Amino acid sequence: MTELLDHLVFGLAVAVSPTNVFLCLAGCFLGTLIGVLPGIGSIATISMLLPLTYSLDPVGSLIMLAGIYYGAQYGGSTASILVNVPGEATAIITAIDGHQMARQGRAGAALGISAIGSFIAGTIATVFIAALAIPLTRVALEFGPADYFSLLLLGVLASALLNRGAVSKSIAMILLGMLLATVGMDLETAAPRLTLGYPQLMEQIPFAVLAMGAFGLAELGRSLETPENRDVISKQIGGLLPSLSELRQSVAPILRGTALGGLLGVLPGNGALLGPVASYGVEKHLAKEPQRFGRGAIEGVAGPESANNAAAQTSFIPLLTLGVPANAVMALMLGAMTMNGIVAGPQVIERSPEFFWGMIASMWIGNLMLLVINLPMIGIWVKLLKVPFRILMPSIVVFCAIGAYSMRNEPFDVALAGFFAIGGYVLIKLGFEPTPLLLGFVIGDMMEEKFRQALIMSRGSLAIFVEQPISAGLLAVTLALLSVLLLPRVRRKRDEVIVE
Amino acid sequence: MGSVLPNKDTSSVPENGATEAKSWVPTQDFAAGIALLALGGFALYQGASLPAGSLNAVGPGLLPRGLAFGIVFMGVLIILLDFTRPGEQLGFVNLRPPIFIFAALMAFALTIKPLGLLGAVPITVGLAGFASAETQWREIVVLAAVLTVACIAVFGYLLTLSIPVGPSGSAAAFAALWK
Amino acid sequence: MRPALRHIVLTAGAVAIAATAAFAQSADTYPSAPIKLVLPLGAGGATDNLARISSGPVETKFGQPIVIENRPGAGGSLASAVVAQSEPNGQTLLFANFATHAVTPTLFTNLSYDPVKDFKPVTLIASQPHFVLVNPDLGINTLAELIDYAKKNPGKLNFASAGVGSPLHLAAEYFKIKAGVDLVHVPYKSSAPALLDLIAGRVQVFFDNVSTALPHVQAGKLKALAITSSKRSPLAPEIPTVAEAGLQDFETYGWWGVAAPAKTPPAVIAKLNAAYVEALKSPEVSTKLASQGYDVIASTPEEFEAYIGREIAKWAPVIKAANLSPTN
Repeated sequence: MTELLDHLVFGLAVAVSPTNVFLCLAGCFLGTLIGVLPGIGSIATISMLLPLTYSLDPVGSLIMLAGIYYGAQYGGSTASILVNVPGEATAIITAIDGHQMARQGRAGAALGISAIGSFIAGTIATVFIAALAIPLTRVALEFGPADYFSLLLLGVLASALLNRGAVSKSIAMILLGMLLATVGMDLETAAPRLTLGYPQLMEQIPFAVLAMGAFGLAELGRSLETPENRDVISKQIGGLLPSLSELRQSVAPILRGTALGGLLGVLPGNGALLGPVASYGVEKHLAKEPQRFGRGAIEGVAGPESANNAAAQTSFIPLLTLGVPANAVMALMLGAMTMNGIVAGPQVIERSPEFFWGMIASMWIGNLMLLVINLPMIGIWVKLLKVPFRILMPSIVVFCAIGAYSMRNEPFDVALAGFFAIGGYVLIKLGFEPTPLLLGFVIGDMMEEKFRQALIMSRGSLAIFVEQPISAGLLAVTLALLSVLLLPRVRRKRDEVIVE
Repeated sequence: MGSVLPNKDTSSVPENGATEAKSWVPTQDFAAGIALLALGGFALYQGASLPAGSLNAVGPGLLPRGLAFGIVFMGVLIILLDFTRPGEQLGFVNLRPPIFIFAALMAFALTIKPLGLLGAVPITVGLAGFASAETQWREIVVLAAVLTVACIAVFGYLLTLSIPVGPSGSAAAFAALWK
Repeated sequence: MRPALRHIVLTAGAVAIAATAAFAQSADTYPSAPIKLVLPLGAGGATDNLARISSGPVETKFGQPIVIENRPGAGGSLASAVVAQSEPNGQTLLFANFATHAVTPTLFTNLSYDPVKDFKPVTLIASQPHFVLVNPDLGINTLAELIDYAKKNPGKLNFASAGVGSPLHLAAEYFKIKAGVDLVHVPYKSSAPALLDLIAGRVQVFFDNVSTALPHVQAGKLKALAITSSKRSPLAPEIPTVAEAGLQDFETYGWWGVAAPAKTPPAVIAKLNAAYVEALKSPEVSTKLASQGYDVIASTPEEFEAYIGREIAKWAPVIKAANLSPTN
């Protein structure tokens, strides 16, 4: 325990130098400003701001980059809550209840609980990393393709249930999302799949393009079609901070979200996404009135946002202890480390302790900065909602266009966002929801890779999924959950039939 | 369907029941099922040439085909369920917003390379303006100007992204003026 | 609004035409504007770093910025297409690599440009060999032991790849042919999860870049049996070359260079080549690149052209043998 404290104090001493605090603050601030633009997610924000860090010293540049990352994540949540345009996978869940809260004039409370929840989650996760980074590395290593596949299957089930609408329609959307994720070169044979002959579709469809089209822009189109649909937002704006009772309601969700997100964040790949999904599912299941979810339940923002931030924190673990980046953002971090002459790898703790512990301490400082910057800024964000919609709307379209373009410098991606906007609009009119579509897209992408890897390793035997203990356990949980959920439904159906 | 607010404009159509009346409007779920059949069918057609392989050697076609069949199955299921109960009517109230949002994005895609932000932003803002019935054109002109300057300043100069700022070649022409 | 729109479009058109006219430049005045260097990969990765490090001194020398435009996707063919179809005046260049010039000509038969004839090579900047990595728990200590083990147990060992058709994938497929062994391919989308499964022992063999793999080798998490170059690496002089380890005629490298559109004037190519060669020979750049595992090459345009020809001929049969579907 004293060793842990020593390390944290050592790290704080590195991170608290005036320059580094300033860099962290500047990173958080800029990250928030760019990330809040609708359609510009954290990967886009980081790659836009990356050049700013090139001229700094190694520790400073990484600290600033981490600040940008947290800022971008928070900015992305802000955009989800205010205008319902999630720029990245993890913000999809926030958009569900967060935007409903904003429509009810509770944007301040949603933004506030998101900042507070993120801070608490960040603080706990920092201590967690400092104490357990090395043992947790084993989790990342123990998790093979078969285990990952079973976890994702559980994720699919959770995604089908998080919705307000009919389960049959949710499942259809998940399948469609997974189908969209298969577009592009096959990972084993390079065969082009469903690319319709466009070379731009050879790589995967960029997630942000699908999200801004089928989610943000499609919803924009729908909300414009009748006058009464949109003015809901600007009617009345409540307090800028969550009330005491809202805070009390959020404590348990924040803690549960932190635990779920922190654990799932260690997994390589986009495992971090499953944190918010799991947290939302758990909160909805535990709630006394689950029907409030999807209609502005504060637990539906507090839990997933905490999970999201805890996962953002613990997704550093594989990078810091193994030198293996867990996701695209971490790969950018690794690039910055190499650029600065820091050799990422299993020995980074011994070779550059000031870097390792400084980075961990700066995570916590980054979270503190976010709170400091964002609580006063909530007032400004909320005022943004008073901007007449007829002015906000063209601006959102322009930012989405720039965001779509700048990911790959590809005009095709902007057009693609346009097609997804039309498609998403039609789907909304047909009573489908975009959330399971997006979740299916993210999950499906990983699921096929893991499924095929597992089957190759087992030489074609499906038994691998039950022989691996972690995988078998997860499948059992999936089955248990499925039966718990299906049984009462079946019984209710039967009762209905009998009554008729 | 929490996301769809009540469409008062469609109230001329009977809420449920008499769907087999003269002007037959499909229910939302019926249309949804048909859409799924179309999407799944399209994917099956497009992916027909991809080998599915076997469990021993999963081919590129296995997952797309499996998913497409799944989508078709869900489409059939949703249509069948729709016959068992009265459903919400399908209502497209006003197609103007999505069409102009689409047009605005297409215009940006077509103009960003040749014209840069200088040309693409005002055109996009203008077209997006058509999406709303309440657009005030004076406001749109001001907004276009402000957004163009702001985007060029932030994305072109502050962040020095490789997004083109002006018409292609104008940087060279500009530089040539100073030689 | 409509007249205003028309006005904007007309003005823009006029500016564009004037710009093209002003563009008829000679090698003396080259470069008269910022140079666009199109990268076939995303921002912030190793290739991005390499492009920035090697282009830095060129910017200073020319007094013009080199703007890097990342155009990832479709095996580099999107980036190549942009450059192939741009004005051949040296203002738009391609950061060519293994994917754009060694693999694409064989793998993609249906391109909107010719991956060989549409380009004029400028210089081969650097290359980086691979390590033949195994999981230490396998108990295999030399390349000869690996080949022997694989021959006795055909189809038992798994090898990982990162990105279909990438050097890391094709190097292993080439090894299968040259060593006459049967390894089972487990495909990964990127190198990170492949490394994790290798460390955990779920896959047993992986060909990875020296720079990424070295820390894991030094920490004893992975064992490097050989390096796939003709000389040992100064970063890890204890690792033998493949030839020393008993496998002859087997060398694999990832490589990076600069190429221009085919009709670029020879004088402009010469000027670019001189600037890049000077940059790469500067102690600052060469030590930085060497510390990141690169062999700095700085070739002449002719040498680069010949190298590309040899690479295409070398990899075409490997791509065919690996059963990759050449379409699109």
